[in-house]
Amino acid sequence: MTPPLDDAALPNRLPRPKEELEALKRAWKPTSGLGLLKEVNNNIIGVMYIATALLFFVISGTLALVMRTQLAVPENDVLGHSLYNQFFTVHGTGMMFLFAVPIVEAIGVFLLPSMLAARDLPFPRLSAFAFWAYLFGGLAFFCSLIFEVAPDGGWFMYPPLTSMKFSPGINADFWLLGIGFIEISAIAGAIEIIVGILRTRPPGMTLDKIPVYCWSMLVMAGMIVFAFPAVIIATALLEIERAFDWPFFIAERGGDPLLWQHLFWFFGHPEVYIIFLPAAGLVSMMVPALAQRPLVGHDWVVVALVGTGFFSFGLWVHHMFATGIPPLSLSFFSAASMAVSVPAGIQVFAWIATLGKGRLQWTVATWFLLGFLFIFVAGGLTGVMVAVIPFDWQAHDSYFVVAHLHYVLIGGMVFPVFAGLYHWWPTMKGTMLSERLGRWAFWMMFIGFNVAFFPMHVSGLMGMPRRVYTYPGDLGWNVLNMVSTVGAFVMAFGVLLVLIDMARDAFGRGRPAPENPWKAGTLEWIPNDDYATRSIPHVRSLYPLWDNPNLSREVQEGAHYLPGAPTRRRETIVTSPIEARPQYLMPMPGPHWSHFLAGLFTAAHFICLAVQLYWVSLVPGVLAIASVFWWVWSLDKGADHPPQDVGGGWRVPVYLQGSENHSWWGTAVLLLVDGTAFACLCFTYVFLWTVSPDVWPVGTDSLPGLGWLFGEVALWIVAAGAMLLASRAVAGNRSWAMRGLLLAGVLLMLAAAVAEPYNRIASGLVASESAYGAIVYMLASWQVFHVVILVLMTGFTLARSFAGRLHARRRVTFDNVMLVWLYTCGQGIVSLLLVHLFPRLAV
Amino acid sequence: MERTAFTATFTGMMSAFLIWAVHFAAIYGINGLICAREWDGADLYGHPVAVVLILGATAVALLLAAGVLAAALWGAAPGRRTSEDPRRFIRLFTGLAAAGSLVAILWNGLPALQVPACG
Ligand code: HEM
Ligand SMILES: [Cu+2]
Repeated sequence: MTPPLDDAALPNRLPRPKEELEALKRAWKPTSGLGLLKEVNNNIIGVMYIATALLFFVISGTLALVMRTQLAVPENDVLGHSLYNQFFTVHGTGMMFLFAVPIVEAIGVFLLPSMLAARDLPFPRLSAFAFWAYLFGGLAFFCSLIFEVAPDGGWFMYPPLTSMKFSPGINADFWLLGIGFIEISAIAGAIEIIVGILRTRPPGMTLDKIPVYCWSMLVMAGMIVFAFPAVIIATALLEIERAFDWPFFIAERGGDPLLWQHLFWFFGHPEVYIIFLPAAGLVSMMVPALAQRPLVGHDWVVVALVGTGFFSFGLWVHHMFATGIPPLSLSFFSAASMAVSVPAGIQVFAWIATLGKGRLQWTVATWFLLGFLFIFVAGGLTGVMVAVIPFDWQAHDSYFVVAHLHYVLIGGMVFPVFAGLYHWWPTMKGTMLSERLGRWAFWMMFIGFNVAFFPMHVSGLMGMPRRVYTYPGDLGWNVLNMVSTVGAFVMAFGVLLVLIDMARDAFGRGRPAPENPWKAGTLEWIPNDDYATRSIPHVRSLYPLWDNPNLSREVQEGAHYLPGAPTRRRETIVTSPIEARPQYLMPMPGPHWSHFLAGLFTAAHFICLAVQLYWVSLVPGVLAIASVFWWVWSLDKGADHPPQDVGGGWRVPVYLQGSENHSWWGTAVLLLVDGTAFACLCFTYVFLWTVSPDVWPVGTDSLPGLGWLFGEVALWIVAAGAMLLASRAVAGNRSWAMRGLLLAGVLLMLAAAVAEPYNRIASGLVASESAYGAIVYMLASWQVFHVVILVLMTGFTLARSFAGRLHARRRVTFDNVMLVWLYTCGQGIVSLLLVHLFPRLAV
Repeated sequence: MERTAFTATFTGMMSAFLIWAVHFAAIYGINGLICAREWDGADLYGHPVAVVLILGATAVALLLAAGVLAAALWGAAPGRRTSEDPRRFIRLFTGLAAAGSLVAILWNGLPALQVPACG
């Protein structure tokens, strides 16, 4: 590779040949009509994704209005008892899982490529798949209300209320299967975002020049990787308990409902920050643009974001202050809960300082931002109050908490998101929303919000409990509740105004926007098209557009990197993660049916499971897997073109193998998710032992002999060795040796995975008898599940090998399978050591 | 200009936060175990076992985080071999993170002096 350009020169010479732009346009031409279903361009998927999230926001909000109507006067009967339970559960679940997390990811999918000036993020089909799975799954989830089979255990679904004994219907299954699988779509989005931010930055955007919003998204996605597996495992355990009577949460047989709370809140608290941090990132981008000066304390804000990401994992028990956990343990969490407000405070000061130093433009976004600051700070203060344990014991499960959580969530994320809608709307298709309607909307929402939720602090302190469908009229709560209800409707009216405004724009009534209307300094304001910006700018600072007033023109004329489509297809530059030097030209997948079908069938599969059509569910299940194979078959194209000149003296290859490849990074992130899930299972094992050592075996009589342990560990080691040998065979192009080794290896893994449950059955352990049996079989099943996936992956690898698509110079597919394979062997060994040695060593 | 290994640099930047995380998990785990097994009556060096273990873990974590801070201040920070620009940022980031983690570790560990372990 050649050295980078010196400072003065532009990466590419002007003027550019005419055909170049033509080629670019042709490669990125969007599909129309029904073809929209095939589309993968994040520009288009992002918009549909945001629209869907807003739709789910409106649906969940409507449920809230009905609830508020029910609560307006005492002894009301709009909603009965059971329907109210379904409403608050679907409202809470919908807002948290189907609106808040998806919309911040959707905004990321839409905004990140243009902020990074990438043609697209690295896995466009994956985000398109995530979108369709989310859309179909979400719609089905809301439909459960129509048939009155919606879940009714609250958005946190505490057992034993949600166990088979107290929720025999399929309501709880709807939550567990419906939401559990939408989490998978969130994880898919997170992988896309992490690899995108680290690897598709424009040349020159070194680590210190990454826009704050991208940092916040990186942290958010990282938190999804480490938080969501906990809830996925929790849902899996509860669903298995319900389906097969394995007692993870049933106290009489050694289980513990608190296990659910630990797993759920280990996810649930970070979830709040997963929602808030991206919103804070948006604020940190809007504030400098509106104040026309760089963010004060930029580096501090970045550290604060990352710090919040970490510290927020140390808070989960503050949702469990009233469950009888030892006092010293509680105080760790109380301390951490107070400490986490410090990084949030740093950000608030940075925003205020920036606003104070600059000359403020008064746009709709500015108003929403000020509203955000006010509401969020108020919510933060009540947050510190509930972090104080004795106060929490008083306020717990009262309307004070409802008030607090809505101040933080609506203040902390809904207001910034609405500010962002108004602020970035012009980047969509060059039109602006109405400033006048927007201002009206803001004031209705702001006043309505405070009128609705402030009184709840008071009614809470007066003793009104959460989640009650009605109350007697002589407790002094009547006026407060009526006021709350009126406020809620005022606020809803404000939201309606925003929707009307957006509809006006959609029907062509929006004002055309000038280029860069708020005179912002970051890359997303360079005019762009379906192919993103004409060329990819060379970045030299945090606010490139402010430092180089000509940059936008240069980019549009094609003077920067990759001004055309040299290989005639969709592609973008992959850069190194720290110094952002061009490494290779990545071909991007184009429109296709496969990911759409995969999303559709995955949703169908889980819905069939939820309504207990187990056998029927196999059909969409198999079809989903087939669609995924169809989807990935055309990837991993190999170096089918010679190295290309992208400008600035960089001639880069079109393919790179090994750990530099973006898909290798995607696989690595996926394995972090997997590893976290496995760690949660190990935690479950140890936790259940601490609460009920009495169901663990004493002495070695009831345990399988150590011979089993050694034998199975040996199988995993040999299987891993077979893979390493196969890898060398690929390098030497010895295809038959490779195929033989893969086949042998996968058979060894099957043997190892099956041996464990087999020997347990032989030694008389029954899963449904005790929590011990349940978790031992659960760990074994987890391993079997991995091997089943590896069987599919190995088959796919072999098929590619026979098709001539796998050899020494084209082995990305193989390397990814190898990563999963070696991980599985390692996991198998750890799991065996735990279940075989722990009972022997425990005191 | 040399290429930098991403994993090493990034782990270095996060090291102080990771130390905090391990410390947090450790003190919570220690106390949880002591209370679940009802070992809270036991003494170690004349003090309740929970207090000794938790303060010990806190001291170790503080030392490690201080080490990261010192490394960031006096040059051995990760990214020493990167090009000039990101290097400055990486060191600042590492240092601030270490300072923040030091306070957080101390703040998390101190309740052991006051609050009864199991109640
Ligand atoms: C339009 C504005 C909103 C109104 C009027 C509203 C109203 C309500 C009401 C009446 C409840 C039930 C309280 C109870 O009976 O205990 C509730 C619960 C809840 N809300 Fe909202 N809400 C709104 C927006 C939001 C938003 C934007 C979010 C999250 C992003 C959210 C998250 C929740 C959660 C998590 C619960 C708890 C549900 C449960 O206890 O299972 N809400 N809300
Ligand atoms: Cu929390």
